[in-house]
Amino acid sequence: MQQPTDLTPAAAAAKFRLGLIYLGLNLIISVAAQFVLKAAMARLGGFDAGGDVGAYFLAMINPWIIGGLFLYGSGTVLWLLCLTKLELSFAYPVATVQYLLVFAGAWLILGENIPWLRLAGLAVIGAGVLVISLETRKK
Amino acid sequence: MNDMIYVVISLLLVTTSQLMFKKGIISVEKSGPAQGGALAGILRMVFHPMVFGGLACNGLAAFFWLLALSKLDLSYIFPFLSLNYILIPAGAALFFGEKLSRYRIIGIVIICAGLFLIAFSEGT
Repeated sequence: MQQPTDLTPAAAAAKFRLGLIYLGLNLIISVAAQFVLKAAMARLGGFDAGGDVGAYFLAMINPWIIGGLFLYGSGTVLWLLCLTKLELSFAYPVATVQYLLVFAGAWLILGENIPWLRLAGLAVIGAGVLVISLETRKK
Repeated sequence: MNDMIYVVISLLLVTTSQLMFKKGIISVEKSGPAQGGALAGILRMVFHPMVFGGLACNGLAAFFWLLALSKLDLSYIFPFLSLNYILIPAGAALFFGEKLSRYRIIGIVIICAGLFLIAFSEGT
């Protein structure tokens, strides 16, 4: 179903499913990382270190940043695993599902104001992912 | 708006890193199954030079992303990574021979339209 190989259809389908599982876990963890990092930056009060390299390193010692980067790293390993099963030109666009999660979280958790145009854009992105997912039904 | 330069740098680094990831993973897969279980397999993959280089690019991308996040709304700048949705599949087709089906192309165009809508909505 994905990379052209000599796999049997059943084996290819199993590989594809495993790829989707890795992708789903990647999405959840990556979005969590975004929110932890955003919380970290809020705690730092939107710092501007200018040319002061030392200030950037101090910021990296913040436990929220370290936690966020750990989540980011875990998400990255899951993404690499996902890429062992799925094509990049399939997995990367489908990963836009994370916009849904990010927008929902930005609104619910951070209380960011979401203008209607952004909501419309989100709906269009969802439609795009649906179209790509139709590819898998055809085969 | 000058803060957008951080977003642009981050974006280019992300495209580079994804193509390096896939390149490295293809070469790891070609070298046969890993010895010594799942963790050994993950370590072998992560420390492949191409994947590791991709991770370095990704780390740099994250650094510039943090700078951008400190200046701009998350829900505003996140969609700008959209250009990657054109560059990365195009690169995958060019370098790895992935077939861009009609579904993928139409889906990507629709996704980009959505991202443009978001980009045109007001930011901070």
